[in-house]
Amino acid sequence: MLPDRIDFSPLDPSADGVHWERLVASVMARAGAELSRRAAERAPLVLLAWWAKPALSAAAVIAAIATGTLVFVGRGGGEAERMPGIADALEVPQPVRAWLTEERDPTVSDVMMALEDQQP
Amino acid sequence: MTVTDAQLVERARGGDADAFELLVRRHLRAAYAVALAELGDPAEAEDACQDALVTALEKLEECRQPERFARWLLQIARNRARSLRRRSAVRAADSLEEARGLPGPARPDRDAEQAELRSRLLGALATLTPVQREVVLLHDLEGWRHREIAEWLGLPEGTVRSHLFHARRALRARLGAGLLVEDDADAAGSD
Repeated sequence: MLPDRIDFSPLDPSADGVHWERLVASVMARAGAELSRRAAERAPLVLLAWWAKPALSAAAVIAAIATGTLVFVGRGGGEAERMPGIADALEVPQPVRAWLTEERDPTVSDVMMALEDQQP
Repeated sequence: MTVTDAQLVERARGGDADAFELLVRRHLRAAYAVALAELGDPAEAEDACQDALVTALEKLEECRQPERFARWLLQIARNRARSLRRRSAVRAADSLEEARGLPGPARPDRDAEQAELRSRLLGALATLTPVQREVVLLHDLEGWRHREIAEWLGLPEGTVRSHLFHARRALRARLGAGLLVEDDADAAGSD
């Protein structure tokens, strides 16, 4: 059987609550610069991830519509009449529908509007 | 639900101050215990464990097993304490000499009785081997189990129990019964 446990509370830095909090605060103060550096490094990555998801979604939608359009145009169908139907089915954002039906290249503001539509 | 060390490490890597503070609060005392075992001086041990935590944050990507953050941190604390001890060998010896019998400097914020108890404990700890000090501080101060200490030190659990037995017996011989705590867990062998 082991001898009784030793009471090390006189050496325990957490026994004095004020002293303990001061110790923790000292560590956090010294760590502040490193924590800020890490947070700043991560911020652009978070922003990029926020952009990437809706941008990829929009790209997938555009690809799907383009493929559908090619199929229907190739069959000689009236794409102007069919487009709204496809767009509705795929829930294509309105800005995207506009430049697709107008058969023009999207401008930067078109893409921005499309991304804004993707936000919850 | 308790957040795991692995989750906190991941968040701290991204600069999450709350996550890092939680890691500090969880493991600062264990780092202190290891540093105290090396240095024998509470003030220097506090410096060493603070250094260790800041270093751990700076090198957080080197923590290959975040779920074992505590053991990784303690290795840093031990290395830091040894480095401090090497650099101030004379100063450390003076602290141990003071602890062995001569009255050490009292902290202004502690009463005389606490200072005397501290001095007695440090003097008694100084008579142990380094591994005995580490085992008894991690177990009796920080509350680690035999198995955890064995994994940390890379020793069989039985060896850890043996070190703890001898450490407590030596401390009891020097301190008397005044600083003993009746421990039902140890008596039942449930640790």
